[in-house]
Amino acid sequence: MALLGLLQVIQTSDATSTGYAIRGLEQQRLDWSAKVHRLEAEVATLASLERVEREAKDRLGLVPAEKVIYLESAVAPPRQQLVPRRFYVSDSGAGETDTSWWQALLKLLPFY
Amino acid sequence: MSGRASRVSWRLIVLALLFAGGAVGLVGRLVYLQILHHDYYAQEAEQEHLSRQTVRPTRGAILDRNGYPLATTLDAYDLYIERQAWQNKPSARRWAEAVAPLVDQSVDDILAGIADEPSGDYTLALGLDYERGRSIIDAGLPGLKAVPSARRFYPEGDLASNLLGFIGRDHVGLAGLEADLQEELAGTPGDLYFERDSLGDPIPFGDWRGKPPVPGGDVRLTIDRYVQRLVEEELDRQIEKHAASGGTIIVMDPRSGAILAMASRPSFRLSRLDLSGDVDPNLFRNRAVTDVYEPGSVMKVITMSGAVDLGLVNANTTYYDAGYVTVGGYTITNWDFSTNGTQTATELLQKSLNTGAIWLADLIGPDNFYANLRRFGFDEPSNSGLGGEAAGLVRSSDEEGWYPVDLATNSFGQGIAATPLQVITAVAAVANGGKLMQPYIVEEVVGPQGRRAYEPVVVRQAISEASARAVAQMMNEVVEGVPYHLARVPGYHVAGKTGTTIVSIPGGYDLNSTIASFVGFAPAAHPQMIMLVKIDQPQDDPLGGRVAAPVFGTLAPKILAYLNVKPDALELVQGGTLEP
Repeated sequence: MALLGLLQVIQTSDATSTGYAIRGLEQQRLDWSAKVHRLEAEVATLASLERVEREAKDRLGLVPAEKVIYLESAVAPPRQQLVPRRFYVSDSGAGETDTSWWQALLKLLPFY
Repeated sequence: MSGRASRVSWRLIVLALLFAGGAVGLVGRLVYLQILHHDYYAQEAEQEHLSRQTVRPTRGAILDRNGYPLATTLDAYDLYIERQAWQNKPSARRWAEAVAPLVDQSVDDILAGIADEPSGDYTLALGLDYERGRSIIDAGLPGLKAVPSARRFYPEGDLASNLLGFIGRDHVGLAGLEADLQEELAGTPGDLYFERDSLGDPIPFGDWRGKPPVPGGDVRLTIDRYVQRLVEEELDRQIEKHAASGGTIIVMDPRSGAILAMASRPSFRLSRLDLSGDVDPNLFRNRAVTDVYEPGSVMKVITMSGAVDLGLVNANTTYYDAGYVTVGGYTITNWDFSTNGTQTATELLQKSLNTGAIWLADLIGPDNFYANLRRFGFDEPSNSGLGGEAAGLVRSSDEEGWYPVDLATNSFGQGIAATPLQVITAVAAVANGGKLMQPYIVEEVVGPQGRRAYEPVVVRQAISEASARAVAQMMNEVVEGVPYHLARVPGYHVAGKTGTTIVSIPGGYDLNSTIASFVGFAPAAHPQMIMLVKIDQPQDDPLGGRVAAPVFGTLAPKILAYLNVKPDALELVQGGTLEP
């Protein structure tokens, strides 16, 4: 009887500990989620026009164009524009309808 | 002996009765509590053991047409301190010293705020970023209450402030697109019921019910952030240069009605928005759609379109300009008081002759004139989806208070009122083969329910395609037929019209104050971009041709190159290089 009682206490205690561990993991999940949102915002800031202009002027020494020269070439233009692919607007159908903009951004980073 | 055994003591009976009474009372009380008032006490117990929590959904992002985020959401915390828990001054100072650096407040300010009232909660921080909030929560300070929250973040800074708008503390949109698209962006809050312990924390494996929140959808606009930035910087520059009171620039694709950029001043700065103090709500409105003005000579394009479409004139039809016209006892002159003799319809537009516009209106007649205005979308909202949009004001000939002189003044854009968006949309119909398009700013909404894309809407065929082509050609002559026109763009054929309006005030007009405007599109034969520039009350020069047209001349080359629009006015020079 005493063993049965002890077993019950151990089980309850174990369940309670597991429950609190689950809560801890849920909190970790929230923490990581917040971190992901913050990193997305950081990516967006790094890609902002103000930063791009600052880097272009300060680091690369670029200046605004004063004269425009148009060249006509017989070679066909590239099919895709040379911009970071993660900023492409999705033209796909149902397969990507549930992908939000930040998932589209992250998917196309080389290490993701 | 048998007599003594059957005798029951009265004391025993009393005791038995007492016990029985107690038992009955107990049972009765149990019946009272557990049966008769079961529901009440069950509810009390549920309130004691169960907590309800509303889970805020993540607000959707607002993106530009290429997917660059203009507004996103970051996780945050709202922190409060229970004043009663911080009554011990030495401890309170110690705790305040721990949190002060994390909430960017001084220790004395925190302590003063707590001492301000005897009880209740002191708001320590609202929208505090997540990591700092967690640090404070993990410090385990007594009396600290943390509510998960969120805050809006703008990666492009103040770009498109009065277009994007802002949200309030309750995360409900209060102005701009944040308010107009509240339903799409907000999502649906979740509900959570759970058994809690004495500390208020959920009991593991306890009763847990609820529905998860549904996040808001991401909204992709037709706005291009690069074009928006070009436009805003130039608008700010021009307002400063001319000491103007404000202005508006709109860039649109005339083929679809998609708004590529929309900037208005005065405006506010999203990065420094503080609603707690005195704020001027006028700064929050999107003047491109809320404010009306008298379009002035730009309206001559619409008047001309009506006359051409009715077959009354063509580009070479002539009339005689005596320098003035008398209507209903009023004498109306040209804007420069010039007298030009015989003029063609094209020259009428080139020289922006008021007398010519009145001649056209007389040919058209009042009924057809106002019908023509309505076909071009005046006197009705353009249904762009932007909040606070004004319908404009047109008093037609069958309305009370109309006089024949109104037809004359309306023909050159005075005495009627329209929003900048209405004006550019109307001229865009001329650029678009006569088709009036509904302007729009939302390209698509992507959310948990799927993807909703918005298609261009043809409102109506305002004038025939042939008439539109003819008027566009005349507008091209306005820019290229006038020497040194400041709206010319090297490499492109441009069509446009200037406007200079005197500002209306209660009781009349302020003759010393103008609105300088220009509407132009390029390439003239196959327009892919149309722009309206409106500068309000420039102090140094009143004229649209000298204030607004050069803005088009500055911005259009950059925008056309960015949009990869092939030049249509190039001369081949040596070496195979094409230079404008």
